[in-house]
Amino acid sequence: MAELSRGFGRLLVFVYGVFALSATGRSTVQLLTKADEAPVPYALSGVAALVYVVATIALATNRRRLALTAVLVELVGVLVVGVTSVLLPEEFADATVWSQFGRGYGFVPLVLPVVGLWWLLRARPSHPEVPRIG
Amino acid sequence: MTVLQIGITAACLLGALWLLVLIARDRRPERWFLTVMAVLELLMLVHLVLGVVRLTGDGADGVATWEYVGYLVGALLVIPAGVIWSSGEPSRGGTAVLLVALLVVPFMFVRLADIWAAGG
Repeated sequence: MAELSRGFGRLLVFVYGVFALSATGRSTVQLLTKADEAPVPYALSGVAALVYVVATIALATNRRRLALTAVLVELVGVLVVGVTSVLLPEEFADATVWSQFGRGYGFVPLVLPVVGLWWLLRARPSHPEVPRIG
Repeated sequence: MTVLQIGITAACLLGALWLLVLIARDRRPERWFLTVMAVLELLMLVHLVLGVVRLTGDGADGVATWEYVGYLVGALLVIPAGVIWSSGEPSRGGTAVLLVALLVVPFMFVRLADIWAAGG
């Protein structure tokens, strides 16, 4: 059974890694230097960063269930934050990765969990991971 | 964007285009392409130094220093990270990693310009 980080997965892990690093860096700067300016968006940026880090590590180390959980949380996050930021823009004094479905990042944050989900379900093992004898 | 950024962006886009051709034909980049990426990385180092110098000069008063430095350092790391992560993956996926790395660099230039414009 192919590993999650081989083939197309190689690309997926790299894109997740880029988002993990940039979201972590960005939210760290935001939370350390101006947390009081827009607490809700900055806290959400922190959550997004954590989700990307977990997804990256899980995909890179072939942990399917953890990866699936992270990607599902990510999908829910980008949808909820996306809808909320469109309906209640006054709550978002500053943008997060997931604001307006990730428009600031070319909507990649919206596409990424869908592709991630597709990859995780497609690359599912065709037989049990622990082969039985007898 | 600065002249250096425009030059690097042009090189990145040309490189990305070449990688697209390779991916379409299911080929791997040859050794000379790694040399090109190494030269690009050298330019990114120059870019980092110039960026920091720019931050310490006049006209950088309102610029968000840490965000700016963060993007300068991040932009420096993208290409080596892509080369390392794509090595040992002789498939389209590995080539696509290099493609993404080359596309992320200009995107970070845009962010840098935004951060500069917001503060300056």
